[in-house]
Amino acid sequence: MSVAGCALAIGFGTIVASDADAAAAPPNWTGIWTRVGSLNFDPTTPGNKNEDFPYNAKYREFYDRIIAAEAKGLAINDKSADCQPPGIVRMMAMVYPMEILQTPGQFTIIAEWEGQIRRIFTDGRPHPEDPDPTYNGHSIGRWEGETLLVDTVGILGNGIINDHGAPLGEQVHVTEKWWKEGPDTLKNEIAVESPDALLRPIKAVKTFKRRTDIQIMEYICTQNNRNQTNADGVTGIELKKR
Amino acid sequence: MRPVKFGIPVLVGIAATVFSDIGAAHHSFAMFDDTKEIVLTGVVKEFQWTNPHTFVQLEVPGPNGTVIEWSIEGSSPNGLARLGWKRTSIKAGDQLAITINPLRTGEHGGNFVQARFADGRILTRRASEAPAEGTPK
Repeated sequence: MSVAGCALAIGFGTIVASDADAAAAPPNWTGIWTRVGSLNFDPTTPGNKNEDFPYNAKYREFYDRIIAAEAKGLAINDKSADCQPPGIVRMMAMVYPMEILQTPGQFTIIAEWEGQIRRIFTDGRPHPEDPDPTYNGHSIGRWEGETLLVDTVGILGNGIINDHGAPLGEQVHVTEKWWKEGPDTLKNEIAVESPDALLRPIKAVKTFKRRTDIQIMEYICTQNNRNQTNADGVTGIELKKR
Repeated sequence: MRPVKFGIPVLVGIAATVFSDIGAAHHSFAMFDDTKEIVLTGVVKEFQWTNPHTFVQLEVPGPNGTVIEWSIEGSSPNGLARLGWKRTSIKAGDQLAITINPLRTGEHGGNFVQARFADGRILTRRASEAPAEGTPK
């Protein structure tokens, strides 16, 4: 219902909203949602399986090195071990629940993991001309009926795709399509372009379930991080001795 | 390899939510050998109910009267609380038999699998009997 509709409803004690108002009102997905599936970029694949991506030769060599090290128990390119934010692509695997807040002109995603926030502007503004690169980039969205289309630029380079450390390049562009499938299921089709690393865009569909039985909890990675990477960039564990 | 089953009701879990791969969130678990499980029996020195990971500091009797302190890493409070754990689920002084996936290096650390209390209660890291994704309400 529009602001005008609200005013009329208050003024006359009757809800007065035209069909046009109803059609224009976007759906409201405010609430808490949890991931379905694995933490991989494609959550329908088993989490213990290394996903493959269409890397160019340079990044293929890097990814092969990451996988080979992991198989030997040495995690490299494991940025979140040092409490670095996951960045938009890996964030959307949604380790822990997310909260969606819809306010006029803005669709906000709060990820419990690392306390990450995405502000998706739906007020019609364009991207800034030359945005400073940030972990979660600059997102603008628009509603097409009951589907939210999101475009994100200004994403910090050299991020990662999944929790196996699959790398992204310097250039990253993310597009998303969000829609409801039934009353309590939300779908997010995410496409990631990284032309200096990936030969073609990669795409996956994420599924989220509405939760009314849980709350978002605090997560501060630096509270007691005993898994910092060592001088060789390998994830470690700080052992305490008696 | 499965840990030994004790036939005792688990402390947590039936209505809990499973977050698959929960352990791999903050950092890679490649350092732990998940094909091996060992059981450590000792006394809790400290339970760190903190992010990004919980830790049990367990004092385990070693050879010739020595005591070895093990650092046993668990999931985050965020993951464990939703499985029914509390910050008081493990306390200093508790006598526990803790099953771990040990560090590949052989150092005194590992990844928490489950803990058995002296009275037979068992605390698990995931509620494997629970519905795959919990029950959305």
